[in-house]
Amino acid sequence: MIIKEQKHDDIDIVILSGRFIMADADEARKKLKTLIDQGSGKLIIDMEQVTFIDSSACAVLISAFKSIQIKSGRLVLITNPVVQSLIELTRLHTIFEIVPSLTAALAVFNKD
Amino acid sequence: MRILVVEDSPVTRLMIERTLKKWHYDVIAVDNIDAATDIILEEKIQFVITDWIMPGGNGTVLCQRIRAKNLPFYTYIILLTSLEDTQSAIEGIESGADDYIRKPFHHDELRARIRAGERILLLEKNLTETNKQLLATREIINRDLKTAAGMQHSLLPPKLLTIRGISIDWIFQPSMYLSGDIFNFFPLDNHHIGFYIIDVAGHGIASAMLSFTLSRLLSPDVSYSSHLKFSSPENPSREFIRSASTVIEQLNQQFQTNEDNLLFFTMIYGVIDTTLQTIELCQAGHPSLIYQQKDKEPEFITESGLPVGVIVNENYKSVLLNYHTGDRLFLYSDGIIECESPSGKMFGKERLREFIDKNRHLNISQIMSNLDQVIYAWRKKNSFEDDISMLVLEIGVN
Repeated sequence: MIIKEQKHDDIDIVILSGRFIMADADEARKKLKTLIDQGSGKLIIDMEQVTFIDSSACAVLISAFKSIQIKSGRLVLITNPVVQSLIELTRLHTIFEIVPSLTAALAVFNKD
Repeated sequence: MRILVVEDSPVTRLMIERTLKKWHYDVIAVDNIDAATDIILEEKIQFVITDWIMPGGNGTVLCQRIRAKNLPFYTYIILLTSLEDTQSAIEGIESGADDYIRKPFHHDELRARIRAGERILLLEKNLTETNKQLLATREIINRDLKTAAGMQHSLLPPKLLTIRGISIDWIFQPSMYLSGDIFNFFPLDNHHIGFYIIDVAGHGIASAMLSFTLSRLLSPDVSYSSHLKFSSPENPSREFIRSASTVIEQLNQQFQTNEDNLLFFTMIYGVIDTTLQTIELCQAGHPSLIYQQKDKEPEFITESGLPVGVIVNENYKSVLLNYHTGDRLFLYSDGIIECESPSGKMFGKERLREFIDKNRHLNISQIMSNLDQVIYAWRKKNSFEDDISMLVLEIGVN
């Protein structure tokens, strides 16, 4: 998996691509933790280019979700149909805020 | 270090021998390659300086012989040659020599080339040593994992177990030795039976450790007041069965994930009441149970809450099924439906449902063994990315 970071004003954007699985979980968790600790509480995880996620990857997303909630921040996920269906399998779509594109994700924060 | 000198000319042999001894090397000198071969094997010689052209066989033949033997130690070989052309040098190296020196040679050059060889041998020695340690460590880890895998298997219910007319069978395939999946089927009292399937996030040792813990916690053998049963202090001998949703809600409070512990798990817990002929089912983020009523198409029971450990104080809801003889329930981990073919296509839940429908005329153990084969055929290799498990229950005649 490839992890890229971007910033849009005070919004942190993490762009993931490839297979997001157990082998990548630790690196992704550490990157997200640093961003959440240092950031403004606005985080987008872009998984549009992710081809597969496993339960370890879901665990990383849950951890990011919990950490940002402690900061009263907000996490927005961007998914594609494959990632979406894998998240739905575990019902996690009911807690995550999920949008289909970066434009939509940025709009979530700009509305406030 | 010991150096074997192979040289048919007595004058040159003596000269090299003296020079090497002056540099404090331990020297053995012979005049033909047959004697050289014997000494290398017997004395485990790791450094050879050999002449090229000799009456009993050339130095290049010695090189080929040594390389062909695949010895457990490496022998560094320097060829001495009076041949001038590049082609000979290539031929020497191709035959297995590590280096060559043209005669007549400078003593300093010989010394430098021997030192270069010593450096290579030292690297090779360190590498062999490290490799040996790694292999020994791997051996210990593998042995431990095998023992642990045996323990994990002992936590599973017996195959083809029948309790009060309800029979089970299962598939259990860890991705590597240990599984994050676990399931069980057990009597709770004289008219209740409990069953569950759990899939701890990830796979491997950490996931398996949590699956061991959960298996022990969800054991009905513990006397009154456990995760599955309780009794009131006034009447400790009277036991009550906890509802499926209560069991999951309790686990959810107890196993909340945090920054240090990311391992959530998905599960299904069911309580069968053989008097009322009902099954209370509670699903927590687990792939939907497939319910196959006799003579009907198998259907997914989709009502489900979040996985366990995600959101504190989460409420879980149960569904109640009224069962009849011949009904079957299939519980399985995502390792089956997310199992990828060589082209990356997932097996999928619809294919699984169709498989179950098509094989309805078979008994449950035939279905399990057929499914096992179908999954292997889908995967087309013996290793799986995720743990695979399936538990099937069949209602028989009580």
